[in-house]
Amino acid sequence: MEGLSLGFYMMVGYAQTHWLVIALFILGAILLNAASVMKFGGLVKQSALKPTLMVGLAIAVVLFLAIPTLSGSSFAFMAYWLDWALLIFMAVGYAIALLLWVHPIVRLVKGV
Amino acid sequence: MSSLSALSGINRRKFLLGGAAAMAAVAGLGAIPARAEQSNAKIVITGAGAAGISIANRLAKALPNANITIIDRRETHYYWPGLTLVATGAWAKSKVLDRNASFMPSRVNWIKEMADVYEPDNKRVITDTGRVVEYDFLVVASGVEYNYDAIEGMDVNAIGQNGLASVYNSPDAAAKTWDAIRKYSVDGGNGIFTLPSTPIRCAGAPLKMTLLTLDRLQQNGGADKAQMSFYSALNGVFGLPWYNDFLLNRFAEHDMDVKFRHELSAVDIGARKATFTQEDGNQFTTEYDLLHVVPPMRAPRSVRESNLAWTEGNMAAGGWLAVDRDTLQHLTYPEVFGCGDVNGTPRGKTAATVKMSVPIVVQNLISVIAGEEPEATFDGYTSCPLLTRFGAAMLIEFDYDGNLTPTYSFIDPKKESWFAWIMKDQMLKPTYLQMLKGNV
Repeated sequence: MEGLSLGFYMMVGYAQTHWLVIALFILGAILLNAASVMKFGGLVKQSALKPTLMVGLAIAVVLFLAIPTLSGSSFAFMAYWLDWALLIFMAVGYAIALLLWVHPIVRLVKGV
Repeated sequence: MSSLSALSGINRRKFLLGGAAAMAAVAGLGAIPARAEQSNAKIVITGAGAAGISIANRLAKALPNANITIIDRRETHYYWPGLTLVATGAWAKSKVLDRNASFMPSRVNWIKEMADVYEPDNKRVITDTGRVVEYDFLVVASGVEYNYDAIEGMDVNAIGQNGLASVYNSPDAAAKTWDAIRKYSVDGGNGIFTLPSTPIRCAGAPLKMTLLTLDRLQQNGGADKAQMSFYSALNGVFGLPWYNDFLLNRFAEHDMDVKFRHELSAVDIGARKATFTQEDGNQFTTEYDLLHVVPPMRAPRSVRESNLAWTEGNMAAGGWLAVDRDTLQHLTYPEVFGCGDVNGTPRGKTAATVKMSVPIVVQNLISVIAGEEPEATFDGYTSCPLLTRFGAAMLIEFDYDGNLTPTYSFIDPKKESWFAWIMKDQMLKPTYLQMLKGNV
């Protein structure tokens, strides 16, 4: 229980520390989705889902390869299963969040 | 409308007390005795560091009627655990600086002076301007004093020049230490890292500085021209045997010269010469290109020279606060508690110790206010994210007895990991800030 509480406040603290980045991300997602909805209607378009997921997958792969270096480390120091679990969690997590930008951008580019 | 009428009919005090109970539950405290909840006790906290501010926030939530005062002049809050990263070039200095005002609870009376004299027999503290502050209950959280003067010839203003480095003194000194280490990591030469015989804040810091400097030497091309040494005034370099052996092996891999029972006693900054005193009293002097000084530490003078300090035992020399290691209550004055680095308890002068001991102090203080015996006990928890190189660390957590006590059982404290590096680099400061607010 104590570990869960600590983990929760750790995430709250992390979000507070990076509030500006998070706020800009949310604002960008709102603007992009508003633009695509106003132009083409509907929040999600099935015809844009496949390219959205492909771009999301590409982002996850790039993040997987880049995060160790971006965090001042390298693959050479990833010798523990927990390291790989965290790396996958971060890469997939950020990629899923970025779908909020990718999907409206794909729609605007494809005109759907 | 009827519910509004009902609300307006609630006794204000009961409403406040109910709110306090809810806030206390959020703060992780148990049920608060009514006598404590209703108390308008005068509580004085000396020190606005991690322990002082964290306690002030928790008490402000738990005791709505208490008169809480915090005494500390410092407006800038230093995130001490980040100084090793500043001193090795990983973080900018600005990343360890915050404003105390951002974390100070609004209903706390903040006296921007320093505690100068403790008079526990009269239940009062006198500040350095002569102001007399009386209390019913006192929490001493005034941290440590760096005793650089114990090293003959040492001048903290010279840190960063002539190969003189010291991570401890301040964020400024840490940034200047990086100037010295950066130059050394390119030029190489004779690098000496020291460890004093006194208890010190964050006992892992001298080791992190050594290991990260080794890494910088590799990165910046100075490794082949460098000879590093570690001079410990103790019988080892770390208090837990497994980690002591791990570190000595790591030092041996880098052909480091390690000496025990050698205490830095003098430095000639201009000539770049350091003098060490050995256990038998003999001295020897050696030249250096980089000297990382870890100052001897002791309790602040105001505590050291008061009746609150230990008068016998191994904590007496440093004048550390004489508290019970379990309840953190003063051994002579039951209305006095200690928290943080000033405590004369074994091990643990870290932010992690503060995190775990603050709730103990608050809970026991509330018990004493209620006229009860303090029952919460502290196991001596401390933690050291030992940075073994840039990008890898070990998350070591242990108690008074040296037992490993990992918060998350799935983290192996004996494995170097990127996970632990991410914790140190990204997650611990946000957690620390939550601790200051009384949430963690």
